[in-house]
Amino acid sequence: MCPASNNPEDEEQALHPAQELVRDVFFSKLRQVSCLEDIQISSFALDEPIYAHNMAVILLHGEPIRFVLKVHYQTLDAKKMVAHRSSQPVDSISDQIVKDFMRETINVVAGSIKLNLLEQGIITGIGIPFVTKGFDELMFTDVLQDQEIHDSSVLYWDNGKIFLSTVVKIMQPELFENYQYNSADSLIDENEDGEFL
Amino acid sequence: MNYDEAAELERQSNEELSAAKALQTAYYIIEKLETSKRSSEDILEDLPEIFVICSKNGKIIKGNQEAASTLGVNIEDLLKYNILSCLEKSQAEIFGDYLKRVGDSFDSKTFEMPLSTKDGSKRNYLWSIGEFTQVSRRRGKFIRIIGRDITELKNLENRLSSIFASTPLGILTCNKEGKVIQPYSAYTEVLLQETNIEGRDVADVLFSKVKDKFDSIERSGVVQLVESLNQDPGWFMLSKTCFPKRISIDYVENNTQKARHLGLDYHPILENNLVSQIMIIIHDRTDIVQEEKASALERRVDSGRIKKIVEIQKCDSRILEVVFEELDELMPRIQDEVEKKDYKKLGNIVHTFKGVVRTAELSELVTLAHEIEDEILSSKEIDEDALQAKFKALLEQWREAKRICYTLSGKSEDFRLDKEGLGRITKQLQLLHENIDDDNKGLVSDILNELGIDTLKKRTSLNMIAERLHNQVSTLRKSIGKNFEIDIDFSDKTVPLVDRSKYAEIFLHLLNNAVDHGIENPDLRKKANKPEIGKISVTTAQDKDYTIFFVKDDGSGVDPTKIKSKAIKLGIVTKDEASNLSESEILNFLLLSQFSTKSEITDISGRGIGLDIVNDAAKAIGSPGGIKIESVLGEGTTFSFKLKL
Repeated sequence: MCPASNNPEDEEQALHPAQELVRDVFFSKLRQVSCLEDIQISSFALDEPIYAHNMAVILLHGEPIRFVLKVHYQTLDAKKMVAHRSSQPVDSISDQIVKDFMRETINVVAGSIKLNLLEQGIITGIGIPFVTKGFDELMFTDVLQDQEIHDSSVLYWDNGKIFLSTVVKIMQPELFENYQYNSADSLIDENEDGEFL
Repeated sequence: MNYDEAAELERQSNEELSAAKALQTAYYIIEKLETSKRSSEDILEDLPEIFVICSKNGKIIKGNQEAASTLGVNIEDLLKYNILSCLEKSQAEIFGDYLKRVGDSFDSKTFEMPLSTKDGSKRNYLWSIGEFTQVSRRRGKFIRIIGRDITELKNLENRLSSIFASTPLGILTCNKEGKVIQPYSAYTEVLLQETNIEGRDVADVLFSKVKDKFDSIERSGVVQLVESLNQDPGWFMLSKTCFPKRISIDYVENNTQKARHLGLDYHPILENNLVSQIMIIIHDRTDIVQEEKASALERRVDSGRIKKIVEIQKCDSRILEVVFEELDELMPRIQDEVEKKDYKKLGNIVHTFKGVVRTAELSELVTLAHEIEDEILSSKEIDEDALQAKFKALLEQWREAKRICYTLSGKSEDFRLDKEGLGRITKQLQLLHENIDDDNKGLVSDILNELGIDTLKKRTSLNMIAERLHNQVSTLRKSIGKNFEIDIDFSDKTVPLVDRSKYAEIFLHLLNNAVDHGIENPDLRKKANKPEIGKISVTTAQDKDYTIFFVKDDGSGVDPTKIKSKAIKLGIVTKDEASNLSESEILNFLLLSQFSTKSEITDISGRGIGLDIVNDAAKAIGSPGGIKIESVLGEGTTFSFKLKL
């Protein structure tokens, strides 16, 4: 369920199922944990650097596939999200809560992807999420490699946005030839609505 | 669970375990990387300089806390800004231009530009703008901006400039091209008597006024000064030995020509181990030079004193005694005439003084006496201050000569002072004795006797004078290159002690005259078929009560025609009057003051003040008619005077 891209070229280019999976899971999970109904997702041009000060990152690894999931965000945007979720003023949200929130969010996203892959018989493990600052796309080499899918998208709502950048390396492409992606919505368990907060 | 299911479960477990192990390893690596990255981020964030990465058009990609604080925004919000929009219009234009230039090339740019901060204050920054090379080319070129707050540095620089302006040193620096660069101390231009030296050749600034005085080494040093730039320090140190280290700049102050003596020190400033600049420190050593000159003068004074000691030691003690006794009499007379400003008489006495001191070969006293004569006889108006100064110097020299003399002889200085005073008192009493003609005359005579001087009665042998005259003649012989013999025979005649100086004065002048005017040069004598060695004699004869003194030479004689024409020229007689005069009358013109037949003045005689003094002195000691002159052209001249002894 990917919203229309801002980039016409991206619209014409079909997304790899793995990309679709990541975007959809991320979109649905974030909407779920933030309670932001108006949140939307859009492609972000790869040649544009992602502007954000902080990054939450997690690794997802299996023999056939490997994911590096990165969420780039501004503290204020994340605070707004948390404030909305907890119905508290933005000023009352501490930086530490924001960090914890983003760490858990990406952990949940990775968990959902893992489950989705497992349903397709693809076994992966999840690393420990961590949050760092300044680990923006600008500061490391972003040369595209063969067999790697670089995907960037932005999730935005009325007063904020966060970025998702993913590097997917597929070691066993044949497993994905007949890969059927089921919408991540089906994975949402209403009982798991962000208890970590 | 059947076997297949169990096997599948085991396969999945193994696969999960394998994935977990791979993740564990990856996580470990990432964690290390993250720690490292976090450290560098912390460093970057806390960097005291402004650090910004932006696109070519100024869109901020990354910035640190200092950048955010300076621009007055939250650090995370920096990413929303364009740096150009954060600056004032003029600053944005400059910055935009630099960003474009760096974006279009790979050059880095460094420049100073102030920045207005959010709180309204303005601070100075040193900006360094260059390409940010860490980012992938895929996204094009990004620009790195580093801004260092140099406000405090600038304040220090301003303080340094004010110190520069007030320091009494010249401090200047030349660049690789040998041009003077800013800053340089304000005093530099004062010391070098130059203005606007920035950008000029350092060698020209330092040496243009003095290079003509340089020796070959210093000239070579000027060339090497410039050539040592861009060389290694060793080469500089070698060249430095030739650099001019002392210069003197002439300048005019209050219409007075002065010289400023400067010392130069050269200090290399290295860049990449090459001499990129030379700092030159100039100090004013005029005071030092003056002190050195004063010391040298003192040394000269010391050497002058030594010279006096040598001269005194060389002189016969008997002559010295007579000389100092006569000078004791002459100095008060000179002092009197200086006070009375009777310069004619003063000239006569100084001339006598000169003759006396020449006898003892006291060269400095001779020179000073000669200078006083010059001052008196010059055609210009007499400079009384200069004359007084010279007289004072003469007095000092005389006293010093006496002091040395008494020191050498073991007599005390007190004695010298008493003797001096006694001379003055004696002279005054003698004058009193001569000028009063009543009962008091005896009283004065008694006082003189009470003083133990008994001057009026005391007599002395003229042979004492003969010794001095011989001494003087030998001195003259050395100085003028004439060859002659002198024979002095006073036949044991004695004269009153009070008159001894007058006799000495008379004979000294007449001998000077004979040597200078009478005796010819050896060549002339040879041409005239005369003996090469001239003869001068001093003899006496007795004519009843009178003793006659003769001073005779076999020299060229006096040409009456020349005397006559000079007398006419001087306006002493008219041409008609002169035609009626006898030869004897014409010769008597020589006894007039300001009359000399010799056009060139020498330090021996010939100033035209000699024979009139002799004549006056002869009359003063009682010679009726004074000096008589007889001369035969080509054969010689005889001066004579007679008196009752």
